[in-house]
Amino acid sequence: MKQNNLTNRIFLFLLLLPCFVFAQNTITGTVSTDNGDPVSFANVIEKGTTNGTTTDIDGTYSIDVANLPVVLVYSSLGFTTVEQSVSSAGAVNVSMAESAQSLEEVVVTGLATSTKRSNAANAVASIKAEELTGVTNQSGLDGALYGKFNGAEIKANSGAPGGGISMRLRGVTSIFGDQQPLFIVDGVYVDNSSIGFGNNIVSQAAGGGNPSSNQDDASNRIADIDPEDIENVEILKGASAAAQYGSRAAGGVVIITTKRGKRGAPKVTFSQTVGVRSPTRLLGLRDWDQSEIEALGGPANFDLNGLRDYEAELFDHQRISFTSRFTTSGAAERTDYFFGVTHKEEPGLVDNTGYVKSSVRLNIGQKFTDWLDLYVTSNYINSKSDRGFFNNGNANRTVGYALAFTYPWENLSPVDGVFPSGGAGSNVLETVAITTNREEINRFIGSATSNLKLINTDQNRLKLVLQGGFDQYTLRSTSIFPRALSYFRDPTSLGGVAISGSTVNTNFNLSAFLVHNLDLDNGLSFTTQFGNFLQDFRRNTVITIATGLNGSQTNLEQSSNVSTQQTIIPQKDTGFFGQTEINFEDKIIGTIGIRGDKSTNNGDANETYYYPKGNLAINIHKFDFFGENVFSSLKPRVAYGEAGRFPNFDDRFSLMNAQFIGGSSGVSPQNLRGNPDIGPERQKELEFGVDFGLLNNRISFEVSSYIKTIEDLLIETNVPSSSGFNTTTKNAGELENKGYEVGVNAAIFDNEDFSWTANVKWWTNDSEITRLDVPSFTEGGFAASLGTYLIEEGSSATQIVGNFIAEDFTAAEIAAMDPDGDGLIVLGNAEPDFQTTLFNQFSYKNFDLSFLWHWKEGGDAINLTTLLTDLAGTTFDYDDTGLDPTGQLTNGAYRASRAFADTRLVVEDASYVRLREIGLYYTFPDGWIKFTDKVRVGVSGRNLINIFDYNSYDPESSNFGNNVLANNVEVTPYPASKFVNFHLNVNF
Amino acid sequence: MKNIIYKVFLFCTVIAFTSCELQEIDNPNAPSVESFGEGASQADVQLLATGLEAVMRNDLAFHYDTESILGREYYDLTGVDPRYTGELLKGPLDNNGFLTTRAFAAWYKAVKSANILITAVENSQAGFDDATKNSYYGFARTMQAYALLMVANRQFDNGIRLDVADPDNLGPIVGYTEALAGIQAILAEGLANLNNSSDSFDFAISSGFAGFDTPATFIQFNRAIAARTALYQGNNTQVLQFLGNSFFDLAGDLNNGPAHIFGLTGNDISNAQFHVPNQSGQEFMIHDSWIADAAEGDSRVEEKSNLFLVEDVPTTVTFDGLSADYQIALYDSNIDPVYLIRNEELILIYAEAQIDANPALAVTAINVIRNAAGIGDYTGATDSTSLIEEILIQRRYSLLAEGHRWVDLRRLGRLNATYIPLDRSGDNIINAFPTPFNEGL
Repeated sequence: MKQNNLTNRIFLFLLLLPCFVFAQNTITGTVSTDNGDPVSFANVIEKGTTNGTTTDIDGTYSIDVANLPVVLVYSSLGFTTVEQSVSSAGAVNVSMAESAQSLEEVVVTGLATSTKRSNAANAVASIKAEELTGVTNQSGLDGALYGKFNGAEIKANSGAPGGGISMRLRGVTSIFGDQQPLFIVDGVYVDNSSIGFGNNIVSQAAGGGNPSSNQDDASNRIADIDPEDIENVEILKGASAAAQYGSRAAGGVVIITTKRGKRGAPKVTFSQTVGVRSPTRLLGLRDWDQSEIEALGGPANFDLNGLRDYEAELFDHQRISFTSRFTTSGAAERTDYFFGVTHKEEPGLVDNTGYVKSSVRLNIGQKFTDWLDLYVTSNYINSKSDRGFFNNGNANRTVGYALAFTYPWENLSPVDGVFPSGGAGSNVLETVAITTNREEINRFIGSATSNLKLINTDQNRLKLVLQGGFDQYTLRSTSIFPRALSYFRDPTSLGGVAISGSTVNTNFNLSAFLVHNLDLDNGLSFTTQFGNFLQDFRRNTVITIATGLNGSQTNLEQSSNVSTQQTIIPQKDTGFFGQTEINFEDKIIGTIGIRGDKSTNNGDANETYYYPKGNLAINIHKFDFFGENVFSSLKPRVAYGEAGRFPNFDDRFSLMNAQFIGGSSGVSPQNLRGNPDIGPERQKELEFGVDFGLLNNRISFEVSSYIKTIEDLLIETNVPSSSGFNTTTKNAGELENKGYEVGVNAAIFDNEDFSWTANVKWWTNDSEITRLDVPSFTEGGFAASLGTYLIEEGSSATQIVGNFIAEDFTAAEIAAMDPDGDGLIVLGNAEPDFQTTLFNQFSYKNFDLSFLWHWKEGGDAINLTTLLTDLAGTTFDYDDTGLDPTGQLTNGAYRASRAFADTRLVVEDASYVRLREIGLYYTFPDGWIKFTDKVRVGVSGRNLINIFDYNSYDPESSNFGNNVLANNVEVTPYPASKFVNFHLNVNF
Repeated sequence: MKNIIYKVFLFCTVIAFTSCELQEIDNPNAPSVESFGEGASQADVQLLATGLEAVMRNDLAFHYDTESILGREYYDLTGVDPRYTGELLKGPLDNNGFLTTRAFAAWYKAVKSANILITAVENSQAGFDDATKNSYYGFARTMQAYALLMVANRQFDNGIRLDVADPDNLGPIVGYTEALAGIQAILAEGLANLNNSSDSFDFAISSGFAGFDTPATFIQFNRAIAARTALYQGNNTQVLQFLGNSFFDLAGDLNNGPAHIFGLTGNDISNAQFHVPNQSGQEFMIHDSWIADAAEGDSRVEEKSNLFLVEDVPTTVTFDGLSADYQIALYDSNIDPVYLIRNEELILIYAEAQIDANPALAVTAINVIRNAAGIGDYTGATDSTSLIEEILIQRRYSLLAEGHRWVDLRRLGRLNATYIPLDRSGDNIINAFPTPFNEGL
């Protein structure tokens, strides 16, 4: 290295020698920002030559030029480049403006590198802060991503405040595995679990068919991240872009970069948002008459004006929410910082539900020398969400379920402080008033990144990137079902239930990467990285259930019986990643790389699984032959990559359950039979596409197509239960997704007073089970008669099947619908035909108007809410007609008469058109208010317009939470909300 | 300065590129099945034995509810899972639905637990002598035979597997007759084990087996099950022979017998067949005909039923086109025990076995039951058909909701509309559960 340096110096000396001989003109000066702060280490170059220098820490420079006049080019990262013509030697001071656009957009391509978007071979979606949170206030990151990029299916699981969302990138990527993408925040592997409350003892939701306990309507933990802190989100939608994340990347990867202080004067901003939440849709009362009331056991001669609309009493509220935010950021010389605080209070539609979150972030960067720097991020989050008691139950105790069976002639109001029991199994007013379902989070996420520049020459640069990340949270869940509840008053009942859950989740990840850049004179440059990593995940959940509460006590100790469940999920992964990118003059860019992964989750912890990648992009417009053309840019690209998904930790074990009888402990075998040979799923994705621009790139297109194959599909398959086990997990199938994505960006108008940009995205995906080594099986939902998925070779992974009534059809029709005679016919498909979004942004003088439309066409959901209300006789459209082909029965009666036999009636089209976001802002002229820099006010809305045919609250709803195939089953959910927000932002 | 760079670089490189070996993680949540296969300790074996007794209770309510509803003893009118009034009463039963599979799997879980116990004892390092080993074998085989008999009654002609020790190599599905013979063989093997056992069990058997908690007394339970099986086999000679070695006692407490016990502490489970009286969501309703057909003053009606009240007013519960007035109240609390078999049934088994051999003794036994119920001696004809009818009536009232009605009607050729009320058009009589879909895999 020393020798190298010496050679360089000699070379430099020789290069500069002629200048010393001829140049006599010295130009000196200071480079500063608009505010007068010095700009350190800015480049100052004599235009058209290689002659240049950099400013020192104080922003001063000195350059010798051979001839005058010259044009000097001043450039620095984060500032708009300035060209200044100089006609005489002497002092030339220049000020530079900060600029966001001056940085060419980059996208992630490796674990330690990124590349210019214009050179990328993948359609990597990237969302900037202004798109994420610029239009309207967001309750959480998950919601903020809705409709902002193509290739995704995002669904809210519940209208309960505090999150709960499922996100699928480019179709179904697993049948039993977690479909959710991997979330990386500033290099930290962030946990996105959804941890149940343990409410099954009260709801008995898993009592009948589905034994899983994921019906507790828990939120998922990515909701903790404050969207306001985010500078940029990049979405790697499949293995071709995400292979560097190996066996964690099969669901795609969402890479989040938080805000960092920018050079310039310190910025202080304060913003306040006041929002109004109201239900998007309520269903209303059935059109009751006296005979109908009596037919359902109601009183005679009931005054129809006295009917109570309990749905409205529960949900029809307007709730005011507040979000306050303070940030300050800046950078000087070698240090930069960003500090942000957000406090949010968001009451839910239902009394005693709501979300309160406080988040504090401090990001600090420090340059120690020109070869060593350190960047530290830290984020503390404290949140509390009261979720209410919703979704499925088998004891008529969840609010929605009981509401379905609550008749409007009942009086559920308390008498002398005591709620009557009500005929529905529980009293909805009582449940809302006195039960608790709360999640409280304390979370710390931190990372540290250090770059050591080991070699730094013109052609040859080598740096070591060390990164560590840490994510720890404590989740406390509290469910209280007091003894005072009407169904717990009887001494022979459970006598009140208090459930306390605590989860401690600790993840850390370490990585060390060497990054080498080599620029050759022939126009070839190489960016190579190699390194390895270690990730450690440990989750420990303890749920304690106390029953038989002492009087009105809710402390676990004040009870007759206490039981405890503990689940520990440990995982350790290690491996390496290496890749090299070869770039020929930004014309041809190719990359090859490989990741190797080992994990304790695999059957053999020390078997390495390899995930290769390779891609190629050609910027045709940069070749000389392209010339003047209708296309201002044209880039065909192709990318291939592989990624995986781990089996569940428990998949390789046949475990024993704890038993207890008569004061003695025992063990008995569990249902899952362990498979010691289990390995990860392997996804192989080939993506190809073309990006092109027209009219000097004022209109740009991005068109992609992909084929994504998932091999060794993890399938939880039945085994003969006479073996004493019920299921086992095997690598036993193959799934294929094919899809298309189109994005168009257009700057339609752009002049001083008025600008208009529009952005259209369109995407579609089709899946197919191409191989299945086990017999076809149903999965998801409750039962065939209630709509379920059928996984069978040659069919879509998301096809919904159900039963039919044979008399409705001719023998020939049945033979066509049900060729294998299993009594199941295909009734729909959860996969949308296509989705499209339209984003428009108008600026006129100081006004900004933006709105985002989202249209989802097709995609079916299973509506069991209507089924339940039909059985109860309370459906809002019960007395409408039109469904019964014979015209005899009303809609509700018709559906009820065919319940569990004609599944067609519960599978519904869940298409929608939504105005996801709309925002109108006014920015006051500079200096309008003293001591302020910029004042902005606005009004915005979320989900203000919702158009759908779906016959319940909202076509998005998932009884089974976010991590399952069947994320489209609705059972009496917490209804969805819309928001109107008022904003005030002040910059100082 | 450059030196420092070299050092840091070297240091980091060494750390980063030292090849990482991962250690296999043992599951921190529970022991594995395999860990009991070889070298189990005494404590391990005791855990398995207690686990076997405990796991016999799992999903018991699914078994009794489905059989009782098929026999129209009671209805589930709670509406929480409408398959109880749809699929279960109308058919066809889904061979992959929980009505079919859940109890089936639960009984085989007990069978598996017994097999794990037997293997663990065989290969244990606890130094058990043969007598102690035999006590475990006798316990395990008797419990296993009981579980197999329960599942055989569900599957009937569709058959069951008897040999399920190796999950990779399950034995064939055999028909009902062969299944009963196989169960008798397992009971006989268990009997032989118990006859060569130590004086006491080596593990804590629960208070549910009070009176049957030594190998010598456990034999009485083994023989009671053998008598029930022989009755199903139609071998009355054997019935009477086995009853002689059981706890059958014409003068004894009708409720004498081993029982599943329940609790609310820790991993214990409650009796899910208990239903809170008069509570909405708990409408497990006795079929109206059971009330209507009862003899005047039959104390069993009062004891086992509860007139359903809503706010203290008798209320007919209706759901899905079915209605009933009385809630089932067989159990008094959610920790009330459930009998595996009890003396009342043995007396009725005795009566039935004596019909042809000695009708007078049959009537004597019937009268024990009738008098206990407060309805006086039997005065009807004593031809075998009349006596069968009378015994069926007594079994209907004495063994309500204990899993007999449907089985009795079937084995006596009476599973027809005369005995099974079909309350709605579309309701059907189902004579067996289908072989679960999984069994074909």
